[in-house]
Amino acid sequence: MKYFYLLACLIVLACGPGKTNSKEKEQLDLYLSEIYKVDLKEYPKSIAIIVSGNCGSCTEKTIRFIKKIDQDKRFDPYKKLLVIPVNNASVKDSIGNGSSFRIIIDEHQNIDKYGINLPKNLFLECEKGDVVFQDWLYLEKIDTIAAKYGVAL
Amino acid sequence: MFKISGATLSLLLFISCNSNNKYILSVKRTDKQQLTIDSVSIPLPEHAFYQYFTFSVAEIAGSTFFIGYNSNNVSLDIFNLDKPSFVKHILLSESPLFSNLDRKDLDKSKSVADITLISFDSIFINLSNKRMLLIDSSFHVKQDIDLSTTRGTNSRESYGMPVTYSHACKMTRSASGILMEQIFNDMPVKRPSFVLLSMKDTSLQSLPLYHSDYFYDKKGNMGMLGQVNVAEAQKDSFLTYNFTYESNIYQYNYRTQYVTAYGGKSTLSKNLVKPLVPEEVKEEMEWRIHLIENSQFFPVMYDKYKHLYYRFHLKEIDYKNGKYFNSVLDKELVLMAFNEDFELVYEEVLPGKRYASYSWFVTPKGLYISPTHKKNENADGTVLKFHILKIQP
Repeated sequence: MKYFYLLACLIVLACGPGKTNSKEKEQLDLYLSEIYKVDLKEYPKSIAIIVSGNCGSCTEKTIRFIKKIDQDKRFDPYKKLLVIPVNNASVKDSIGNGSSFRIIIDEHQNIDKYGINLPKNLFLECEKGDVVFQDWLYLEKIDTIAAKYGVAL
Repeated sequence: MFKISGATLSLLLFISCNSNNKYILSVKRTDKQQLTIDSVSIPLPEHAFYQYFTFSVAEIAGSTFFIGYNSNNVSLDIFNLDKPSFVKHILLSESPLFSNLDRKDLDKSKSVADITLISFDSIFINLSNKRMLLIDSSFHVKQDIDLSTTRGTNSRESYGMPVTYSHACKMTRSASGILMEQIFNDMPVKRPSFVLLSMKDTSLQSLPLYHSDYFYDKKGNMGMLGQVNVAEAQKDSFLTYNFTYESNIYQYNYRTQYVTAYGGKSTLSKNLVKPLVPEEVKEEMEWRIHLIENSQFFPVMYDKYKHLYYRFHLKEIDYKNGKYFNSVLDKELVLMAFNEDFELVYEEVLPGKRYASYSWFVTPKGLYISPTHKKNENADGTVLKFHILKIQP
């Protein structure tokens, strides 16, 4: 009988979640799938940046980082998404035309409903929809994230 | 092992809930009055706004005038609400004092923080909480006070920085000067919340008015809901004020210097904001959730024409909504009206997602409010529109 329990435990462990997505990622998935019919699982690699709705959250350094990711050939294989709250829509002008990011301006203010109007900008790197790296794109964290991806600011 | 019975737990919960009840005064209800809604629309000229958040209203020569700060145009825009029509722009941008302001009007330390219209010869402008200007409608600067140089009249008292914001703590003129809030760096130490700025000698005089006991007992930990509220529409010789975090209403008599506390208790929402201790906050999102899940009380306006007091508040709402989430914009707006004795004569939830917070004011015709809620898809950007709420028997 005890072998049965041991086997059952092993099966439970083996079937458990391999990669756990953050709650922000789950909320982003819901937002992207329900409103824009986008599923990050369809892309081998993806980068998503959610700009915060807080005023002044997007500093010059944040814009510089986004532009570097945008223009760096190493990130060409990535599907790139940039979600911008409508009150910070001017961030799009700073990125400029012809960006490789799919820029989503949240015109109808749905990001609150989906719980992704976050206090700070969020950076996510995913593989087949699973988060492999996530951090706040904010103040000194921008340098840390840039260093991780070999991006000179 | 410590054991606790269900009955004891209920009793403890009851005591714990009631321990907060000591802060909230009850309110007597009287015959309920009825609400009717009228509206007015004023076509906008070029460079005017359909929505102003920094504004003032006054009766001048038998007409009601509205003056609003237009940050895009850096102008004061004047409208006659009775005609109804646009009157003129006062182009502040013509003065170097108003250069380099925040055109988005998000940072009030770089913008027009407040305006008070007394007459076309007397318009007070609080510029960035740094200067107090007195101008006329032809933009002649009649007085210019550097607020950093103002000094208190009582040398034993410490004075804070005098500030006002058009939405929460509105600068109002009394017989002794301009009423302003004073901000101290050592909050929540108990210090006078208001000062009067004398335009004669630029001196400050503190009023013996403070935050409520609840604020000090909880060390000022009200999240983003710790504001003092003052409306422009005040009863002569009185200052009616309240706080964002509780339903009580306070009235100071300038002559007797007595304060009377009244119950402004809502039957439709919670009456006290839960404390939020910064040291216990694990995620920044908790600040916003606290704002969503607590009620928020707005300034009390006196209607001298109908002898009523009006107060709006946002009702608390759960942050989680099934698989979705609510925001501050999803909170319901409640209107309460009280008679001269602060007996409740009206309390109802207004139609959802219709009205913009802080867009209200009183005129002889009633309580004006702008139907420009951010989620109001029927908002018309080509007119300055107000709904006129009238409460009557």
